[in-house]
Amino acid sequence: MPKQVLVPPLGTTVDTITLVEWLKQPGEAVTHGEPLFVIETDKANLDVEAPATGILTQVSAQPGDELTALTVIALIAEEGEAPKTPAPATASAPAAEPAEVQAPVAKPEPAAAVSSSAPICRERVFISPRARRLAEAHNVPIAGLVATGPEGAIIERDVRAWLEAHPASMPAAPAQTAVSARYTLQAEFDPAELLDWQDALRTSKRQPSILQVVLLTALRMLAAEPLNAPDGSELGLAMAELSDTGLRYRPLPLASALNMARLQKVLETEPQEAFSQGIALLDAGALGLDVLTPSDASVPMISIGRVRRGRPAWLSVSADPSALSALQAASWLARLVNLLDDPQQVLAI
Amino acid sequence: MSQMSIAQALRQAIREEMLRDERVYCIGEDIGVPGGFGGAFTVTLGLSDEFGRERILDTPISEIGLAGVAIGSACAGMRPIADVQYGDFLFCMMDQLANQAAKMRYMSGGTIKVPMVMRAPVGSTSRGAQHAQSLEAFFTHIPGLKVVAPATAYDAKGLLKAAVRDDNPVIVFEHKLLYGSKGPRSERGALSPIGEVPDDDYIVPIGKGIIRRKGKDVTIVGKLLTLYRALGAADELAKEGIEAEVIDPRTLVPLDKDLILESVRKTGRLVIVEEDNLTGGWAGDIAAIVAEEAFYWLDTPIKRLSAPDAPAPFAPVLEQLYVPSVANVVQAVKSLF
Repeated sequence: MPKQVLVPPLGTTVDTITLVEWLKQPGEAVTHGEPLFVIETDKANLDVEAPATGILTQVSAQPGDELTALTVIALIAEEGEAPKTPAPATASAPAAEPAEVQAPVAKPEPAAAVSSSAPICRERVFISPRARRLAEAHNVPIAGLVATGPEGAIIERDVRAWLEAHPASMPAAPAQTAVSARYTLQAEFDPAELLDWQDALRTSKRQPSILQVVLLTALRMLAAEPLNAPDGSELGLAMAELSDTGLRYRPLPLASALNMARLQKVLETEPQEAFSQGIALLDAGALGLDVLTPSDASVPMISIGRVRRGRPAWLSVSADPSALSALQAASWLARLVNLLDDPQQVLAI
Repeated sequence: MSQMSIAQALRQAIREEMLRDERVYCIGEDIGVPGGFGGAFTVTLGLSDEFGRERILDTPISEIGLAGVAIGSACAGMRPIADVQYGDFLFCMMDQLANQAAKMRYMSGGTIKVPMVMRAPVGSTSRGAQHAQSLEAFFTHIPGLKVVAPATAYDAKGLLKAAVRDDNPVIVFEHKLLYGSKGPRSERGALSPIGEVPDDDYIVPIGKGIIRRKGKDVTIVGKLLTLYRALGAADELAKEGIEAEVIDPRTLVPLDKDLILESVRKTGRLVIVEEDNLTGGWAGDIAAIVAEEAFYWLDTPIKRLSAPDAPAPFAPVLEQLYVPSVANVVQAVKSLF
């Protein structure tokens, strides 16, 4: 079975990994442990060794490409397994053909053979419309469901079984029509270190804005210390922006290994009209304000005020207690402000 | 309140309507001949003694002729109840029904009404391919016709009375195995459900279905004979812990689709059982409606159980295989769990 060639993870401070060159060409034999390709980080160039012995194939990254850690950029096939010419990235058939030719030495690894095609051709998941509706309503990860329905499909009872096994994700009781008691918490931080860190985060192409630096810090902290709704479900983050029709949102990925390049890409996507589960971040500073807490927002909001050297910067959280408890929000906000005061701590997360 | 068969309930409905409105009359082949059976299935038995042979009007064996008389007299203000000995003979009248009766009101801008009832027995009963068809789907496809299919004595009386009072042509499909016809006209293997029928005047509104059995796990839609197959299957399934909801649409045009959609939104599963042939059939239409309007509530594929795309066999053994059975329904439902 072919071995995947991965972009190595290089710690949380490295935001961009650029492929400098391949030291082997597709179709060439490589030996386990010998240098295979060179990458460039903001600190240094690095040789990456071949993870297996075999034929380099299915090369999908070219010199100059910006890469994300743990992405598959090539495969190393065993002798006789590799296609003669570099195949398109999606082809799984060429790998099967030579295997047929080599029938006498067919590998007794059926399970492994299936997984070998996984990074190239993802297996389709069949889930009933009803089950998908329920799963989406409760943020149930479809990949984590066990299918018991007809023809191997995931059906409603499979989602319900998952929800029962994860009581924290059970739907909250229908919202009481109580008087809204939206609270607002505020805290200030000293942006000096943060501005220094912003300089340090200078990438080869794009310098992050101070807002993006705050976002990255908040996202990394959220990955390490999740905020939960009162019903136990984990709250994600979205970037909110004011538009003529109201607020629009860009849901942000939640990953401790998130890097600036990926965050910047997400921030370039088209915002959506709706965002129901999580916390929205609003850039008050872009409007020249220090605190902006729309009272009609349906989700918890964090507003980030102006960030200027030599002045305190403001963070505020406003939410309805039914969406986020004030106690939890307070301790989280205090921790975030603490982190922004001393961003080197982010390295420890 | 009396216990009666569907044939008796229909007879009572006809009698009451003829007493209520002198424009109502019956027309058909051998429906009033002295010493006859009262039509092929005894529905009009004895009515010619009470109303005379001018209002229980026998015709020569010419379906196109009797359809023409019925439709023409309806246009002229009468309210005929036409008897088709076997539903299969509706094909003989097809131009009269599809091109004339169904379109007259539309093409005349509403000035000509066709308040005609056409009663047509359907179902496979060991009488060969030309006396066995289930024709419901054909006639649901013709705009301008209403189509009802009563499966109980209560509905037979109530729907026939509603049909007589409707100003549009209404086809009433009746199942041969459900009539409860007696004597020489009794049918082998008949179910002949006996039901309570009020003695007073009532109608079952056209366009209203009914839930025959409540359940939460799967919706089974059946009509006429296959309603009873669905109910039998629901009994079997209950023993295994599957609670089936059984729906009898009663009227096919206009269809009470909300009743079906509401049930599927609850259960997430749908099985349709019919005796029509599969292709271009009624079950396919119900499946399409649900797929279009309740897709996100479906938890499993929709199942259709129909007669195969073949003429109805004469041999009783083959006929057993031709019409969906209780076991077929049970098996189809269980495949969804």
